[in-house]
Amino acid sequence: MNSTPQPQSNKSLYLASVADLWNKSASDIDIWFNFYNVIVSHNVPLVDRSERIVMPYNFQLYEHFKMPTDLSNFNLSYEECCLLRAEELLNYSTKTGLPITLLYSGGIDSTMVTISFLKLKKDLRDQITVAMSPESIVENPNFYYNYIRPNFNLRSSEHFSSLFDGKSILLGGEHNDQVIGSDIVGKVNAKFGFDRVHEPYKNKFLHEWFTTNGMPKEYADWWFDMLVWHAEQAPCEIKSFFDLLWWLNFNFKWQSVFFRILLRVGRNYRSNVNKEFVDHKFFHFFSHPNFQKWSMLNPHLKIKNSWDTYKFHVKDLIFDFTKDPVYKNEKLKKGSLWKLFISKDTPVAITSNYEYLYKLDKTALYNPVNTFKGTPPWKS
Amino acid sequence: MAQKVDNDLRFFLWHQGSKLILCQPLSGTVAHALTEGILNTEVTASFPLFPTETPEVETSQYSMFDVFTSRIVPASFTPSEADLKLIKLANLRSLYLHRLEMILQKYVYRFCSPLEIEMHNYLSTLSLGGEFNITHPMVLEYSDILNISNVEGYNDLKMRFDSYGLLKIKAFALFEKFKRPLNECYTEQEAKATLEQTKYELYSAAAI
Repeated sequence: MNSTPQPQSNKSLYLASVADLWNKSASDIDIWFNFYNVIVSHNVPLVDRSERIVMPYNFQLYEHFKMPTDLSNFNLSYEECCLLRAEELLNYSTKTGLPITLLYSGGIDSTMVTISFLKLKKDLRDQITVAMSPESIVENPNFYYNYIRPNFNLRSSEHFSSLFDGKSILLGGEHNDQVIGSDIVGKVNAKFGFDRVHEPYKNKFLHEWFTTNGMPKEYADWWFDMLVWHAEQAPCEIKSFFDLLWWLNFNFKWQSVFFRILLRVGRNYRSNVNKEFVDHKFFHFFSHPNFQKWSMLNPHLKIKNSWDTYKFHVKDLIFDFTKDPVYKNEKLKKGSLWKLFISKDTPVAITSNYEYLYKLDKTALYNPVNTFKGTPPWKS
Repeated sequence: MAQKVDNDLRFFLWHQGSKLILCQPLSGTVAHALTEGILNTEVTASFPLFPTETPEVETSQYSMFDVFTSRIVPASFTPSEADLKLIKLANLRSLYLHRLEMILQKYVYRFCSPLEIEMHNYLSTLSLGGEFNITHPMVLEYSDILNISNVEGYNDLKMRFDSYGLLKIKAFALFEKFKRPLNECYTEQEAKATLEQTKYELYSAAAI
C-alpha cells in the first residue's frame, strides 16, 4: 500500500473502480457514471479501443489493445486461430525457457485452451502447469479425469497471487467472451426472452433496455446514439441488438477484462507486476489479433436462437475432441473469477505505470476535454 | 473456524465481575469472539455427558456461573441496570456474529464437502511433518484404487489439499477481519449496517 499518496494529476489509468469518481454536479461525469450504475459493474470501466470516445477521466489504452482494422485476406477458422495460438505459446515457452501456468476454471473458454494444447502434444507435464481448484473439477468432471489429470502438472489456484512470482508465463482464458458476444445478452434473455436478441439494433431495443434498467431517457439517448455512431464506423458490419452488445463488450470492455486479474494480485506479489511482466509473461489465450479478426468476420458462429447456444461453435469444437454430449448440450456460461477475487485487499486502480492506487483523486484525474461534454460528434 | 464438537454442546458467556451469564452463543466461535468485544468475560461450555449441569438455566430468567462448582445456576440477585445493558449487548452481538459465521460457513461448504474437509485435516498433519510426498503410502493407495499413476495421484491430492487449506484460512481470516467491527456495535441498527457492509466488502471487490 502507498503510505504517502502522490499527486494523481499526471497519472493515467489502465483500470479503476469508478465508484469514487462520481460527481453529480458535473453533467459530463453524471452521464458517464450512470452507465455503471445501470448497465455494467463499477469495476469495469470502459476504454475505447477505437480511440473515438474520450472518457471524462484519464484512462489510457494499453498499447497492444488498439482495435485491428485491416481485415483483408483474413480467412482463418476459429480452430485454426486456436492451434496457431497454442503453437505460438509453446514455442515462446521453449524459447524463453519458462514453463506455462494455465489458469483453468473448467469453463468453456479454459477447456478450449487446454484442448488446443492437447491437439498439438500429449503429456504436457514438462511445459504446462494447470492452476485450478476442486471447483474446476465440478465444472467439467470428465474433462478433468480424462485429460487434465493425466497430461498436466497441477497446482491450486486458490492463492492465485502466488502465481505471479514471475517464474512462469501466466496464461488466462480471458477475452473469449468479448470475442463471442456479451453476458448482457443472458440478462436480456432472463428478462425479455430471446426473441428480441436478433432484432435490428435500429429498433432501439437497447435504448429500451437502458431505460428499463433505470437510466434517465436523456442519458439513454446519449449512450444509444453514441453506440450506434460508433458501430457505424466499425471495421465490420454490425446489424442486430446482439451485434451491438457484442461491440460494446469487444471494443469498450476488452482492457478492463485484461487488467482485472492484475488489480487483484496480493500485496506481496505486486512488485512483480510491471511493464516487463505484463508485456512478456502475462497473456490471455484469446487476446491475439487473429481471434479479434475472426470475431469481426464471423457473427454467424457466435449464437443461434437461444441463450444456451451462446458459444455453440466453441462447444462443438470441444465436443469434437471429447465426444462428451452432456457437456456440449447442457453446459451454460458461468463466471468463475469472482471466487478468486473475493474479499481481496483490492486497490481501486492500476495506472499505466503499474502503480496500485487505493484512493482516486477525482479532481486531479478529471479530463475536461472529453466526449461527454458539449455537442457530441454524432450531432456535429 | 472451530467446528462444533457436538450438536448438544452449549456455550455460555459469563461476566467475571457479576458472574452473570450474559448470553448463550450458538457456537464456540461466536462465544470466543464475544470475549474480545466485552471486557472481563469468559466462555464456559456445558457437555451433554453431564446433564445435571444446566437444567436450572431453563427455569430461571437470569443465571450465573458458579466458579466453585463450574456449574450454571440461577442468579442469586437481581441484575442491575448496567448488568441488563450488558446482557442485551451480548445477545445482540452474539446474534450478528453468528450470522457472520453462517455466511462464512456457507462460503466454505459451497466449495467443499464435509468429507473433503475431514480429509484435508488429516493430510495437513502429514504435510506439516513433511511426509506427504509421491511415495507416501496414502498417495500410493489412492493412486492404486483410482488406477492412475503415482504422479497423477500426488498432483490430484496436492491440488485439492492446498485448495481446501486456503479456503479454510480465507474463511478464518474473513471472520477475524469482520468480527471486530461487529464487536464495536451497540445497537441493532449499527449491527445490521455493519453486517451489510461486511457482505458488500466480501463480494463487491469481486464483482466483474
